[in-house]
Formats: sequence, C-alpha cells, structure tokens
Amino acid sequence: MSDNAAYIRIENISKHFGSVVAVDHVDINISAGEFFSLLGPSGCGKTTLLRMIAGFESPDSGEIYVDNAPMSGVPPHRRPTNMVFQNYAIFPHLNVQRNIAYGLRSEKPGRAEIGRRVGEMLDMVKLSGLGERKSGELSGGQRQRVALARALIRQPKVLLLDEPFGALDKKLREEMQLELRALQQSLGITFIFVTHDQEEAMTLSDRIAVMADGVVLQLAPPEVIYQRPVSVEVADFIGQMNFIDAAVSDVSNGEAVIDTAGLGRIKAAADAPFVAKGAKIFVAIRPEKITLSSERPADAENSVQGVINAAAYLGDRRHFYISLPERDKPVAVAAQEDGAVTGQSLARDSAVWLSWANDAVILLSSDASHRDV
Amino acid sequence: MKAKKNTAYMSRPSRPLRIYAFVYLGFLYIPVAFLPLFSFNDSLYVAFPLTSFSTVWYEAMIDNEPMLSALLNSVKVGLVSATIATVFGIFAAKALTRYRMHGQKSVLAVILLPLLIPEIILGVALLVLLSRLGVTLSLYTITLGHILITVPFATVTLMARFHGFDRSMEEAAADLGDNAWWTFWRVTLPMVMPGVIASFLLCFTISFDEFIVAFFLSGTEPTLPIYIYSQLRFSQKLPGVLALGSCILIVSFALVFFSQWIRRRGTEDVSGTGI
Repeated sequence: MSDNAAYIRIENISKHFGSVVAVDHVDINISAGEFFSLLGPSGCGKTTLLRMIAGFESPDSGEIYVDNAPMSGVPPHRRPTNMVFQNYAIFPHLNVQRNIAYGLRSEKPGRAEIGRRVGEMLDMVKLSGLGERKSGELSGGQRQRVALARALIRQPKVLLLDEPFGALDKKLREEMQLELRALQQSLGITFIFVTHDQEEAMTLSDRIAVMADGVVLQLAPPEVIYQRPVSVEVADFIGQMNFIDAAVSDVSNGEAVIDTAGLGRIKAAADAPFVAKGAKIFVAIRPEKITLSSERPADAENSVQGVINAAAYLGDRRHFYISLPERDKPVAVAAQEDGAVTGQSLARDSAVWLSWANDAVILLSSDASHRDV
Repeated sequence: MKAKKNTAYMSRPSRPLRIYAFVYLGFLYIPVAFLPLFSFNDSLYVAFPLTSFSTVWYEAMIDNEPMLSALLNSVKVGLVSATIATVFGIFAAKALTRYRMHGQKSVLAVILLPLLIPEIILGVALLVLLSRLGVTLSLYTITLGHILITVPFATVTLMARFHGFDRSMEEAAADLGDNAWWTFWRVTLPMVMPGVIASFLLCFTISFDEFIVAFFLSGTEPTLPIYIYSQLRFSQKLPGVLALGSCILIVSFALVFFSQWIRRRGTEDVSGTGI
C-alpha cells in the first residue's frame, strides 16, 4: 500500500485552541484505499486532525491535500470527504431512508434513482426493510449503520470515522469491526479512523499513527507498532509492557551489554543512537514473550529466577505477576492456557524461572522528550 | 397497607402541604370559574343568587360589532407581532448559541432588558418617540410595541431549544453537502420547530392580553383589552364581556394543551442519540 502515491497528504499541520496546542506540526501521507487509524488518548489531537480533514476546523498552518487538491478554504460541504460522527448525528426528524438520501440533494437525482441508491445502501449495511423507521426506533448498532450508509452514498474519496464504535457494547463492537473492515476492502475507499482503543486500531488498520500531545509518536503497521515501539509512550499505550530500568555498561561491535534492575545482565543489538556506554535506558519486554518454568530451562538465551506474587486466570490465558529480587514492581507474564503451564505447579509464593529470547527485548530511551518517528 | 406503600423518606406525604396545595389551586382557579358561570346567567348583574340559565349574552356577543372588531384587531396584532418576534428570536438564539463572538453576554443582556423595564415606561417612551417622529398611532404602532415586549420571550424560549440539540447535526448536514442556508432549512429549523411553535404561542398570548403599551400606542382602533376596559363603565355590557372571556378561556386552554403536546413530542429525541 505504501508504494502508491500518497492520496491524502497532511503537511506540517498545526492547530491551537487559545494557548493549547491541539495539533503540532503533523505530517502524514495516506495511500488510496488504505485503512488508516489515528490512535491516542483523549486530548491527543486525533479528533481535531480528523475535523480539519473534514473542514470543520481550519489549521493554523500547513496544508491538507486530498487527491492532490489543496483543502484550505474549501468548506465542508464542498470536500470529497464524508464523516461518521461519534454520536452518529442521525437526523431525528427524518426516517432512515431520508437520512440516507440526505446527501443526494446537490446531485439532484430523480425519484427512482434515489430509491435505487438508498435501497443499495440499505442492503449494503444490512438494514433492508427498516427504511421507514425513525432514528428513535433504532438500536445503537443500527444507528451506526445508518450513519455509515448516509456517508457512503455520496461516494466520498475519503471516509472519516470518529470513534464510531464508542457507544456500542463489546460484542457488537467486535462484530461491527469485522463488517467495517470487510466493507472497506470491498469498496476500496480510503478510511481514516479515529480511536482511543488500541485493540480496535490493531484489528482494523493497515497503518496506525499513534498520537500524543498533538504529535505523531509512531506511524507504522500494527505489527511494527506492537513489536517495535519507538518510545516508552507508544509501548505503554499499545498492549501491556514491562519496563525495566537499565544502564548500558558496554557497547562493542554493534552489540550492547546492559545491566538491568531485575533481569540481570543482558545482551542486545545497539541499533539506536541512545544506546551508548553509560546511558540510562529502559528495557521493555511484552508479558507473552516471557516463558515460565519450575526448573531452570537449559536451552534459554536468558533466564532469571523469581517468586510468584499474584496470578489471574483469564480463560484463554493466565497472567502472573512475579517479584524479582532487585525490582519493586512485579514483572507481568502472560501464559497461554495449555499443558506447559498449569495452576498447580505455579502457585502463589512458589519460585519460578523466567526465560526469554534475545529478540524479545526492546530497548527504549529513558528520555521522555526523545521522539524518533 | 396503602399508607405503607410510599414510605421512602422523601416521598412521604404531608397533610399541611396538601391543604396548602388545594387552597392555592382554589385561589387561582375559582375566580376564573366565575367567568363561564355568570356568562350563562340570565341577569344583568354579576351577583348571586343565579337567576336562570341563558345564552342571551352569547347572542349579544355575536351581535356586538365593535367588540368583534376589537377581537379581530387583537388577533391581527398578535399574529403579526408573534411572527416577527419569533423570527427575530430564531436569529438571536442561533447567534447566541452557535457562534463565538465578543460581548456575547452583553448582547444577551440587551436583548433581555425589555423584560425588566416597566411596561408603563416603555409605553410612555414609545409614545413620546413616535409622536416626535410624527407617526400616526394605529394598530401598527401597537404591533411595534408588542414586538419589543415579546422578542425577549421568544429568544429565551428558542435558546433553550437551540441549546438542547447536538451541534454535530448541523455539521453532519454540512458534511453531506449542504451550505449554511440549506443546513438551516433542512436540519436546524425542523429540529427547533417545537421551540418555534412554543415561542409563537407564547408571544401571541402576551400580545393578545397586553394592555399598558397598547393603551399608550393605540389610535382609533382598540385592541380587545382596551375595548373591554372602556366597556367596564357600562354595567349592561359586562355580561357580554364575560361571554367573550369564556370563549377566550376555552381557546387559551386548547392552545396551552396543544403547545405542551408539541413540546413533549419534541423533547423525545432532541439529543440525536435517542437512547
């Protein structure tokens, strides 16, 4: 996807509200047909950025191009974008059909044409037969479908979605996510999706821009964001992560020797400029990358002994919190619920061996202002 | 058993308060009930004991040409001033709730100020101004005065409605290809319509029974309150006024119920979430 010419170019966009910087010099290129997510906590600027693409806010500086056309000065009603609003904004005085047909006014199609296209949309979002209903008579999921159909009937170049699943319960949300992804792939329309839910972003997206405080921290496919976060903030926001204080004691031939508070002395590739001799860094490791065993594993690249502090059974997996001698905070370990690890052998307060592979370790700068996109 | 049903502390009934409520309602409505009662009484004098049932005053009312023309004048003034005040109210409410502007609070204060100015002062001031300008007093000058009085009511009523609905509705309309004008016609106006109707009815009612300003600004054609006041000197005309009063009472009740019904229907789904 990234080899296509950029279809949407967000160039050096900034936006202030009073003295608050909402979006701070953001550059993003999005390809045609891409499912792109803006992910971040509330107040990170993702919604402001989306609203600037839609035309509801104007940037203080920078330019947004959609299909090579600059958007500044173009009002929302003339932009080739359509939006699915967070609360859906279904017009309460119109029924489902009229809501969906709303955006056809400017095209001035005939009655038959309107009926046909609305019918197509109703089929597409699986609402056939509900065309006469008023918005008050729809469930949350149905309202979401109406909002989607109403935006897509205009055949936008870009569909903007502002936390569209926020109001739905978990099960329905997962169902709608799969449907949305399938719909996007069959239509081939570029989607820009705003969410604070990292799982949702991972499930849906081709690429994700992780945002905080108005800047993009990392922009990459979901796998890269998860496996190779570039900063503590990203690693902390996406999934669960153990952060361990560490110091680089030596660097030679591209390999660093690192002393950690709890995991002992480890070796890792010195592939970033902040990994220099004497530097304080963080060693990060995902809970599921650690293996537990009651005996010292013979073939492990790294291993250390600890004591089980707490355990939680989650059905498909177990979470363990393990105290290490040199560390206040217990290390989280996630184990698949299968024969290898059982509850009996890993009771509370029993000693246990943690082991992990060299490539499971991620080195992160401890400098909070360091942002390597 | 029945007494134990509602024993939650806050919902326990209180006998003194109940008596107070009945006294209050009686004080409010018993005088009003005399109006229809005496309008059907076959006597010139509004006094007990009642003599006999009669519709003679209603017949007299229909024949009373000047009274009916005063009624018509009031309806005309009411319709025109309520319409204009409501239109102004829509503009003001939209501006005050939708746009960020300097001095927003002062603008609102200036709009609402006529609520606080005694009507007698407004009446005198307008009379002085209009006679200085050489304007002949007529139904138009009364209408002008009534617009001035009712605009604050219209603005407040409509602002409540504009506050109540979600801004993203208007953004959605813009997003779907409507400019500001179309957005107003296709989304904003239909959504504030219950407020528009409520405002119209309120303004009409205020104008319809307004006396002081109308008294100062009326020319040769009186509105109904002025006509009724002028007739109070002639006791034989009083029962006819009672008959008309009863008719107006029924229409007012119908209007109030209608506007409440509209309002309730409108609040069902203001937020747009509908849940």
